[in-house]
Amino acid sequence: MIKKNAPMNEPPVVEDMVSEEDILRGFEALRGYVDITPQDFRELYIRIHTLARDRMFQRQTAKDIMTTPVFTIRQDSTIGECINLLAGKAVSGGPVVDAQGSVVGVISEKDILRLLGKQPETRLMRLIDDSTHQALHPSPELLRQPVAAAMSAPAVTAGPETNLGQLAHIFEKLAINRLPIVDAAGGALGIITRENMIHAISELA
Amino acid sequence: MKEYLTYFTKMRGSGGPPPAPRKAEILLSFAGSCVALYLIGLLHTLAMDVVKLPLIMAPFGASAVLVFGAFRSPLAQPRNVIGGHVLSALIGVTVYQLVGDNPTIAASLAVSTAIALMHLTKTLHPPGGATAFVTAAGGAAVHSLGYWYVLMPCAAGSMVLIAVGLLVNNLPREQKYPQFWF
Repeated sequence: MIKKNAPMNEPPVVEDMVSEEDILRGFEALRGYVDITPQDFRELYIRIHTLARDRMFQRQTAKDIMTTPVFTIRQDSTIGECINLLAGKAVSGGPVVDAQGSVVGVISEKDILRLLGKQPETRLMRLIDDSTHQALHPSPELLRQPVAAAMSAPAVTAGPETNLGQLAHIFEKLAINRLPIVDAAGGALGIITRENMIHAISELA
Repeated sequence: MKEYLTYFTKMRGSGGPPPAPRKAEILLSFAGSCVALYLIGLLHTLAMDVVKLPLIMAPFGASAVLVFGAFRSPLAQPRNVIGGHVLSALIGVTVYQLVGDNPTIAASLAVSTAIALMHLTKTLHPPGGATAFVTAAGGAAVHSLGYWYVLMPCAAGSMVLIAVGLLVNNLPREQKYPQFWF
């Protein structure tokens, strides 16, 4: 998921963040002749920055940044119950568990929109603007369907020791909005949302 | 094929040199090195009075470049200046006593050994190479002093350089010397 700390003898990832001009300005701010070439300094800076950044991203783990406690939805509860629960908690999704409490999927607004025959990417404004409002009034049969029929499964989950860097890669690669954090038995410990991620990353900036 | 090309393109270099220091700093390093080498000159006169032979330790000129011209450098710290000269002089005298009848071999062996030992002891000081050279293959004055040469002028001269470096390099509020002692 995340690239391991590059060994020091490998060339570091070239980053555009520090220019030779920045380095010369920094040198000029110091007294005395700086006995290192700007190119060497740049290479050192990038290596050191990479190590420091990786360490910061590894220091925080899922258990530090997750929202807890997390409510779960039983996979045999109905879509109607699920909509009530999401509306009551004012959240846009949550983990779905089986009878043993293991996370088996994730249900979100998008899944329910899909069930209602809407594109999962549909925006609120589009729904308001849509001439076929009746589609938003689901039939009783639809509301009686089990959550298991609509949820995204198998669930993408992560363990409590997953570090911030790995979490960021999971969110980015799989384009997900929430990630249940589970113990070894698959039981939900908490959930990490995009807001949790932004909060954790902004602490590093 | 590509590797062969890289071999040559590396030779073009990339980027530029670090910037020159401010004019005031250049003036200060001029004054500091002038005073330090004058004092070292007095030391040489003292030594010449003893051995009755002309004696001059040119490597101190190189050391002054570092102590006054690049005092931030790890190579210009007291450990390196004193350690580098003393160690190199010891090697020089020893190599002279072993193979001194062939100055070419003596000089090459002394300088290469000095580089290796300075690295091993973290006392790398480029002028130390010059010290090893002149000690192993230098003139009669050097050889007549034997191991005394290590103390005088090498150790004594290094200490004079460091002393003047401490006094001069710390004059501006924003400057500090040394970065470390030992």
